[in-house]
Amino acid sequence: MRSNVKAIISSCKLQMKQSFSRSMFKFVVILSPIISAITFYFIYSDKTDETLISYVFLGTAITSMWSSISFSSAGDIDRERFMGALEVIFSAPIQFKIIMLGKVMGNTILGIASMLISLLVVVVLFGAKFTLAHPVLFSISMLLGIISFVFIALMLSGLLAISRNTRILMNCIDYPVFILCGAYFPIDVLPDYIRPLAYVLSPTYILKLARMSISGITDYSTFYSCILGLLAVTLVYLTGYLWFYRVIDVKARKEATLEVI
Amino acid sequence: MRRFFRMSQISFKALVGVMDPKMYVLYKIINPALQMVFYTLVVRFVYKSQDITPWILGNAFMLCANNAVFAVGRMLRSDRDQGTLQLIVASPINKLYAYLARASFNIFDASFTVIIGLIVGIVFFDLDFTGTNLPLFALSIITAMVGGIGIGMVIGSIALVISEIHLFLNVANMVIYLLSGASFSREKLPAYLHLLSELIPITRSIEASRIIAAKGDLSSALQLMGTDFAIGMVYMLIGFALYGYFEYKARVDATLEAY
Amino acid sequence: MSVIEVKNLKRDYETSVGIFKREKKVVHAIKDISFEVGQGEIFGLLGPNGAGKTSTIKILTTLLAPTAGEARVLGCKCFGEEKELRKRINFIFGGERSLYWRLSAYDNLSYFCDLYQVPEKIKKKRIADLLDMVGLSDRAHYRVETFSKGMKQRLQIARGLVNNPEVLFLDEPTIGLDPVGAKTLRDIIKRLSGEGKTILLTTHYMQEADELCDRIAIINKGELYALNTSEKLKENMDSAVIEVDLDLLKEDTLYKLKALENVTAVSAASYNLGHKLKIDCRNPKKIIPLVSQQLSENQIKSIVMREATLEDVYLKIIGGDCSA
Repeated sequence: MRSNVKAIISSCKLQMKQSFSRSMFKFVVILSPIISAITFYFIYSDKTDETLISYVFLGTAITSMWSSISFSSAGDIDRERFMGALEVIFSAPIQFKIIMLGKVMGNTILGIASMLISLLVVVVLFGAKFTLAHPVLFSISMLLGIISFVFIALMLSGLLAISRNTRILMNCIDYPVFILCGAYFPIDVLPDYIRPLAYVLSPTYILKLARMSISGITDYSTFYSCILGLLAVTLVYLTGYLWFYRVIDVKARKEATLEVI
Repeated sequence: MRRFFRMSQISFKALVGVMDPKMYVLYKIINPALQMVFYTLVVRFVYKSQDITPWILGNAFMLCANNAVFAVGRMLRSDRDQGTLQLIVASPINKLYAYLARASFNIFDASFTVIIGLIVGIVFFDLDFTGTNLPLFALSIITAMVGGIGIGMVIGSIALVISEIHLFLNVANMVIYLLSGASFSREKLPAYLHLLSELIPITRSIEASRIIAAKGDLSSALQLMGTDFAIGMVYMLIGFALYGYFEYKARVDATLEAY
Repeated sequence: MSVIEVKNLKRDYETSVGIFKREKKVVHAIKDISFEVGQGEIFGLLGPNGAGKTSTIKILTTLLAPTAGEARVLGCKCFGEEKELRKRINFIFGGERSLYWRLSAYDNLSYFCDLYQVPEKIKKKRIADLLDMVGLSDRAHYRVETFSKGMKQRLQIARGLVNNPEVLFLDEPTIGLDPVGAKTLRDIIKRLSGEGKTILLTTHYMQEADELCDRIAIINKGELYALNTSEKLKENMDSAVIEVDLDLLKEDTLYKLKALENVTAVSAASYNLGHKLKIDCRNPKKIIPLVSQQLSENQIKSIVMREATLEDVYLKIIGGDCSA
C-alpha cells in the first residue's frame, strides 16, 4: 500500500514535469483558458456578475479541465509507447493502473491550475464579483467533480489503449462534450431527445451543482439528486477504469494485439 | 495558368493525402459542424429573442480561420521538415508564383468548410436565404477566404522559425476568433483591440455577408468586400516577404532553422 | 535449481491479411523451445531476425503470455505469478528508448526506483552507485535528450539495475554503440555476472557472444538449433578453416579442392588484388600440403589456418537460410 502511494506521487510528479515541457500542454493549461475566458467575457459582457461567474468562469474552467484531461489521457499511453517507456512501466512490480492513476492525477492538478487561471481572468481582468451563496457546498461539489474527472480520464485512457478507433474519435470529442454538459449555457436549450445523453457526463452535474451553490439553492432535493447522479456516474467510470485495465493487463499479453506492448 | 492550378492541386493533395477518409470526414465535416452547433447554441442563449443570423454567419465564416491558419501553417512547415522547401527555394521558378499557387487551393477547401457551417445553420437554426443575392454572398465567402489564407500565410511564415509551432498556431487561431467579431459586436472590444480587429481581413467580409443576408445596402457590402480583398492580398504579400526574409536569413547566417 | 526454465515454449501471433476479405493468419514465432539457465550464468540467445529471440525475452520478462508450454523464472510462472516475479527481475532493450528524454538521468532513475518499490533509505545510495558505475555521475542532472547515444544506453543499464535484480534480460544491449562504448558495456555485464546475477542476452555480434556467454543457444524459425558452450559448439563443428590468398583463380580450382578428402566446403571471393579462398575441412594439417600442391600454379600469396570461430558455427547452423 505504502509503495503504491509512493508510486502514485512519483508518477504524478513525473507527469507534471513531462507535461510542462510540452508546448501543447502549456497552451491547454495556461493560454487556452485565458483567451477563451476573454472571448466568452465579451460574448456575455452585458450580463450580471452572477452570469459571468456561472457561465464564463465555470464554462472556461470546466472546458479547460476537460481539455487537459482528454488531451492527455488520449495521448499518454501512446506517448509512452512512442518513447519505448510503456513496456518498462508495464512490467514494473507496481501495477500499470496505479501508475496511470498517478499520471492522471498529475494532469488533474495542472487542470485545476487552469481553472484558477480562468477565475483570475474573470475576477481580476474584468472585475466580476465572485460571491458564493454556499461556499461549503461549492467546495464539496468541486472536490467531487475533480475526483470524477480523474476517473473519467482513467477510463478513457484505458478505452483508448484498447481501441484504435476511439483514438481517432477522441480528437473530435471536445465540442460534443461542451455542448452536452452545458458548459456555456444551461442544457435546457438542448432538444429533449438529446438531453438524457448529458446525464452520462459528470461535467453536467458538476456545472449544475456549482451554479446552484453560486446563486443560492432554492430546491435542496435537486441539489442532492445532482450529487447522487455525480456519484453514480463516477462509480461507472471507476468500474470502467478497473475493467479496461484488467482487459489491458491480460489481453495485451495473451493476444499481443492491443499494441500495449 | 495550368501550371498554377496543377501546383496548387499538388500541394492540396500532399496535405490531404495523409488523411484517410474517416479522418477527412471527421476533421473537415463533423468537427466544423459541431463547432458551429456549439457557438450557435451559445449565441442563441446569450442573445435570447434577438435575430441571431449575424452570429451564425460570423461563426460559419470563422470556421475557415481554423482551416486557413492550420492548413497553410502546416503546409509551409511540412515543406521545411521534409526538406522540400530547399528544393522549391533552389528551383528556378518564380517564387511568388509558386507560393500563391500553393496557397490558392486552400481557398476552395476553406470555402467548403464555410458552406458546411451554413448548412448547419440552415438545417438546425432556421438560417434563411430566400431572396438573398446568392452570387454576391458567395463572393463574400471568397473574399473572406482570401483574407483567411492571407493571415494563414503570415502566421505560417512566422511559424517557420518558431520551434513550438502548434502552440503558436493554436494561440493565433483563438486570437483571430476573439478579434473577428463572430459571436459579439466588435464595438464591445476595448479601443486597442478594436483597432487590431480592423487590421484583420475576414472581419469586413463577415459584415458584408450580414448586410447581404439582411438584404441591406449592397454597394456598401461590395465596398467592404473590396477592402477585405485588398487587405487579404496585402497579407499574402507580407507573408511572402516574411517567407523570403526568413529564407534569406537562414542562408546567410545559418542561425534560423528555416530549413 | 535452474533460475530460468523454458519448457516446450510456443507463441503464436494472429494477424489479419487483406482489406475486404479478412483472413486470419497465424504466425508461429516460437514453435518449440526448451532450455534452462543456471544461477550466475551468462546465457546467449543467437539467431537471425525473426527467429523468436525477442518474443522469448518478452515472455520471460512477463510482457507476453506464452501460447503453450512453460516459462518460469526464479520458480515463478512468467504469466500468472508475475506479481512476485517482477520485483526480482529487470530488462534492458538496446537502443535509446525506454527513458524519459525530457527528464534528467537522476529523475529517470528515481522514478523507476519508486516503481520498483526501492526503499527510500537505499534509493539515494543506489542511484549514486549506479550513476557512478555507468560513468554518468557528473551528468546526473542533465536532461536525457542532451545525452549521446552511448550515454543513453549506459543510463538504460543503470535503469535496468534499480531494483538490484537477480535476473537481468538484455536484448541487443550493444546495438549501434562505438567499439569503446560496447567494450564498456561488456565490462559492466561481466562485472554483474561476477556479482552472481543471472543474465540472458541476445546479440548479433558473434565475438561479443563468444567473449561474454557461458552457454549459447542458437535459435531459428522459432526452434532451438544448438545449445552448448562456445567451446563445445566450435569443437562439435569438427572443422577448421584454411584461408588462401591467390593471384590467379582457374576455372577448375574450386572443383579440384572440393574433391580432396576431408574438405567439407570451399568458397571463393574476388577482390581487386586477387582472390581469397575459404576451405572448411577436418584435419587441416594433413590438408595444407595437398592444397598447396593443388594450387601450385595459382601463385599463392599466403596460407593461413585457423580454428572455427563462433561465426563459422553460426553460419553453418543457420546456413544461407535467413529468409525469416
